[in-house]
Amino acid sequence: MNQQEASAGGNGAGQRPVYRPAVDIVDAPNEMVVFADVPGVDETHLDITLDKNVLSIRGTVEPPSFEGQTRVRTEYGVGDFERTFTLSDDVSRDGIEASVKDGVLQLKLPKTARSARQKINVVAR
Amino acid sequence: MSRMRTGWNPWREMNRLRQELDQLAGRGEGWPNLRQTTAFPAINALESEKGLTLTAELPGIDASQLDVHVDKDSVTISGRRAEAAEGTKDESYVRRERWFEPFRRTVELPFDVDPDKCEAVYEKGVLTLKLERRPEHEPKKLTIKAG
Repeated sequence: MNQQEASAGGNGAGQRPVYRPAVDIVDAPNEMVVFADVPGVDETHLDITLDKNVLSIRGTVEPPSFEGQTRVRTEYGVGDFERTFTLSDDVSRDGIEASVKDGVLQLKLPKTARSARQKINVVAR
Repeated sequence: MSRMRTGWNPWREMNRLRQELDQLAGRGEGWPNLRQTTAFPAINALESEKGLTLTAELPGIDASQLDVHVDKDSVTISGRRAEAAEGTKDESYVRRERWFEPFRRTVELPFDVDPDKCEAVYEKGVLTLKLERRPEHEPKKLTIKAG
């Protein structure tokens, strides 16, 4: 249930740890919907890139300030989130929509007309 | 008999080793003494002279489904989150990693707080609780008189 699993790589950008967010992928008639838990991330701190068939999401989280405070309990680390997905050709490259609410990223990946109602693949890595 | 203050300390060695392992795994940098727990939600706590700040990552919860109960020396966080997918028969999960179990956790506080002066904020999927010390429990600085 925790998201303490750290991803390989992705540490080049800074000193902060990078976590791999838990995702759900739903196959709906006309689209694939990806939900990712990215607590601490809002729209302004989210990067989504599509390179050929690889969709990458990266959320950056502002580290909390410890000024004048002592950490007395640390059960989770705070860091950025990063994960990539491989899309099949049946996902339309246009019209991918992303929104974030309460620390949950929702990605809507429309299916191409041809593949609507067919089962298509989005592989989480 | 005086306690040895220098030299090899096995606990410090083990701590250092664990931090190095955490760093190899890409986590825990800047987060010394990360103590992983199976209790949910995981909680971080910061203490100051004024009180205690607790945070927990609880993405995707409607604030009305989240309960925080503050006692003088404990806090209980409970709630559940609704699944976003409508679950119609036209939709199916291709992958499910996110949690949806109802949760409840009580943590003991290191000092008494004033339940009337507590503040809970839920923002970007993170719950932050600010708890104020009871005045009589504020740490007092003692003046040391020269003998």
